[in-house]
Amino acid sequence: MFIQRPQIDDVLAICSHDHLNLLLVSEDTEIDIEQLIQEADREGYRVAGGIFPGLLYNTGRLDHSVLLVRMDKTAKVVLQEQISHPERFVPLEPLADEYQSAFVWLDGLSSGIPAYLEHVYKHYGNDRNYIGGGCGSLSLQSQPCVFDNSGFYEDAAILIAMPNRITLGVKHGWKKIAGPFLVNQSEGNKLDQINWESAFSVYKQEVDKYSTQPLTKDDFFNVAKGFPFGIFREGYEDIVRDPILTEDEKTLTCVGAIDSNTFVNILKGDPYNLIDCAKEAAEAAFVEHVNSSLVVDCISRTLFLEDRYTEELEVVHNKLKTVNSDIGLRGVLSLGEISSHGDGYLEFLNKTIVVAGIS
Amino acid sequence: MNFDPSQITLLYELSLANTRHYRPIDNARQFVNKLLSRKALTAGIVWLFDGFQGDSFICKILHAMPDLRSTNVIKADRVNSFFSDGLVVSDHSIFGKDIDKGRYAYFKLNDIGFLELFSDDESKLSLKSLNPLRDVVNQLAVSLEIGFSYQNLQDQIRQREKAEKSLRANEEKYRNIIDNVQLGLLEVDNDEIITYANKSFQDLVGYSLSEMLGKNASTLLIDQDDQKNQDLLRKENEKRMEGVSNSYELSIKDKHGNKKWTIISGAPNYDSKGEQIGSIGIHLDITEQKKLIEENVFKDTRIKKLFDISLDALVSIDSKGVIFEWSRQAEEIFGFTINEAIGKTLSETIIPVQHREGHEKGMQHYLSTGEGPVLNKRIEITAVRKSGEEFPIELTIFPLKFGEKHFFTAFVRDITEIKESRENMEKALNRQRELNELKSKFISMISHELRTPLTTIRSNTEIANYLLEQEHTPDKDKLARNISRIENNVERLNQLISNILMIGKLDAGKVPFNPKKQNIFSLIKQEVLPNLSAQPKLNDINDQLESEVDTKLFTHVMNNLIENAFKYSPNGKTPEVDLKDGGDTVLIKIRDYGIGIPTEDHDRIFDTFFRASNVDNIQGTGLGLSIVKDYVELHGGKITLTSDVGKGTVFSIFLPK
Repeated sequence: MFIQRPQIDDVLAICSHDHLNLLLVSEDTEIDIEQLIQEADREGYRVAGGIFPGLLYNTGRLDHSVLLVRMDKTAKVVLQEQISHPERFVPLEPLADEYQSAFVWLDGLSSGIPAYLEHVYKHYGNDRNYIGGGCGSLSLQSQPCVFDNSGFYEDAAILIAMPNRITLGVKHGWKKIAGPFLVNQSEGNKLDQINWESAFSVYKQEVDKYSTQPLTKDDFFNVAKGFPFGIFREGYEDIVRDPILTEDEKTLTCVGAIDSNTFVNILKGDPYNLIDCAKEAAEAAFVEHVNSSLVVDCISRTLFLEDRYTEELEVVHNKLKTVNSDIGLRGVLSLGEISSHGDGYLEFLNKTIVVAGIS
Repeated sequence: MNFDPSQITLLYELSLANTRHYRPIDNARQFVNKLLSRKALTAGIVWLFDGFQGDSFICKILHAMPDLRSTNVIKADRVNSFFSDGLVVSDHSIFGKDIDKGRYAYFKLNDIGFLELFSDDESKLSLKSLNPLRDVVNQLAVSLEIGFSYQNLQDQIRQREKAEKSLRANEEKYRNIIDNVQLGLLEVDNDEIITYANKSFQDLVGYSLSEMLGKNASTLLIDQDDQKNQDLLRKENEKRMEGVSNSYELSIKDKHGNKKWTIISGAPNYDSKGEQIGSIGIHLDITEQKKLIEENVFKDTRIKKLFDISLDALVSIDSKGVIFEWSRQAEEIFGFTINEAIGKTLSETIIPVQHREGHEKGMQHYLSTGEGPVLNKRIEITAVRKSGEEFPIELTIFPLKFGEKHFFTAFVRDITEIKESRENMEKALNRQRELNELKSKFISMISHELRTPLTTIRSNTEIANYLLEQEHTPDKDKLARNISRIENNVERLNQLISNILMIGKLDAGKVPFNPKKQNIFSLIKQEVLPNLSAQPKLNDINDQLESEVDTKLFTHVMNNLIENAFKYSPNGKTPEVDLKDGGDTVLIKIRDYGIGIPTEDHDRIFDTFFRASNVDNIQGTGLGLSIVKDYVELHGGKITLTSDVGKGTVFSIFLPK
């Protein structure tokens, strides 16, 4: 359920007292979130959610909208503020076995994402499936982007544990064109050196070999969006890290951290591959009847696929219809994606589409 | 070997992970998390052997991802057999109980523990896929060993640093204590050369440390003329050189030549090899105490002297009444020597029997209430001498509480003589007072007694003169009455003056006294009765009785008593006279039935100028009975009286036969 160009009253009108109301809000929505929280509190609605660069519904992108996901009323919201300060983390309360899955929404521009995900996996392990993504603005300016009834936060994460069973499909479709390169010096999501040289110069040297236009500081993302980094993962696609800017033509800033002494490949995208992979992800997620769906798709995929992005949604939506034609495809365009890819370690991904079939 | 380059990069990354962290837990965390991430495994744990429990290793988790397991135990022999190859892949947990269903892999981490990997996807954990990891896992083991060694080393260094810091702090603390302690500390070498002096010692002697360092302690601090202390110090130093610790008093001089007294606790000083390198002396400045002691000795001596020469005795007792102080004057007053008195109670020594119970009760009352009505004031009481003589004392008791103990000090003064002289003085004073009073009365009475007849004489003389001047033939009867009155009053004056003169003669012992043996009744009949203005009743008369009497004086006695009997019996029966045989005496009683004499006046009725208080305006000089008594006593007799007011009086005269 979504509302375009909504007012607060419109949002509250579709909220339910019998559910946890997950509100996925597009960043261009002119809603005062603080006020929305106050109003919801006054009305007695449990709310949680995040601000995203965009929303998805069926085969199209939603702008100026709020997407409501009514979650089971037993769903638990666990807020963690200041995720960039792991030393302040407090142990997570144990969850009962009936909580089979969880949404994780966090500040996609925070440097504390790996530590937070490690924290979650350390306490909750692999006993449940996770899907989520990075909230925030495509402007890449840090600002409050996740919320629950207690407030509106930046550098924070909310974990919503729910009793539903989730089937995940995680794919990106980017292929290695060069590598491996050793990121020998980095700090969080900022790469200083690759192969003991300036990260920018090594990256530019390789990208310029494949790009139709040279990589420059000013037009960095326009070229770099087609050449992300990939981190090796045995038996799966590389974990993608999206370089998004260079401040000084020496270092590179990515969405998501790359530790020092990590080998990376340089990947290249092909629309066909990407769309095929989206289809594969959907096929993995929608293997049987589902009650609802959620897609967390990287905003950079839309930027890369541009006009063909709808094709990606169509293949996913088409697959969804094969298991339940009565429900719509819902999703967000995120700043990084979260999934417990397959059944293993919890990772923060880029340029990836995560499809969840929710039973 | 056909090897996927990605595998090589993973191994390289894992290898680098082993080099990045000194802390074993960070090393394990980085290694395990990277391994899980890269191989998409479900769980990874680094277990450490942490001691034994019976025949089993206690296994403790160094790092677990996810952190869902706790301490576990595993049989030691199982570990040895299990890890024969260093890497084991199994469908079961090494601990014998499968926590999760899936595939387990175990790498031995040398002797420190093992790495456990788990995946619920069995295909991900095969010997083939894990074999390439052996070296990096061994590297992890070595890295962990190095890390633990480094950590131990760091701990040791930290502990050593802590210990050194603590030692330095202690040294500093003790140096501060030494510098700030009130005791002076002086260190000298074996040649008595000063090597250190703390602040207190510097303050004591007035020299700074730099002024003392390198100087000979004896030369600097002992007056060279003070042979006694020079010798003492030399002797004590010799003892210390023999390794003997000692304590002694020494007089030293400060920088300004002032004499200071210290108690020195000296001890030999040894170096780390046990060689004696000098001595350390701790100096307690007792100059003030010494001065105080001298002052106190002087005060004590002075006080003792004062008490010794004092007329008052000083006696001190404790709360049980036991004497512990007994001055020389106490010895003199009570007769007990100090040795006889000390240790005994007051009741055993100087308190009379009748006061002992009161003394005991008073002490108990004070000790229980703090109140003592006789304390801090002068009281007069009696005490007992060693001889048993009870005598009056003036006593002042001061209580003194010292700590929780109570003491009492008493000043005692023997007031036997004072009391006697006081009593005598009081008597004399009273007598003087009475005499003055009598004198006043006498003057008043004499002036009245003289004025009355003189007035009568004068008025009758004037009347007679008037009659003679105014009348040619004056009435002889009137004149005769006037002249008679003049004669009577002249006689009265004459009698009065005679009595006064008689008193004077009696006082001066100049009264003529010529006794002769004669019959008393005959004397009364011939000399007394004819001269009386009224006759008494002769009641019980023995006319045979004789006594040696002066006729004139006896007549005066009898006349006076019989005249008084009539005078003070204005409305009563006629006075009576008895003359009886009193054995050795002749008893003469003159009895009246008049106003009587108040009992309180009986003792003084014979005093000169004394008159009974109930005589009102009955004329009299207060001399008559005094003369009577003196006259009777001149005869060796005595006179007594019995009297009841309103009923009458009986005077009894006893004259020796």
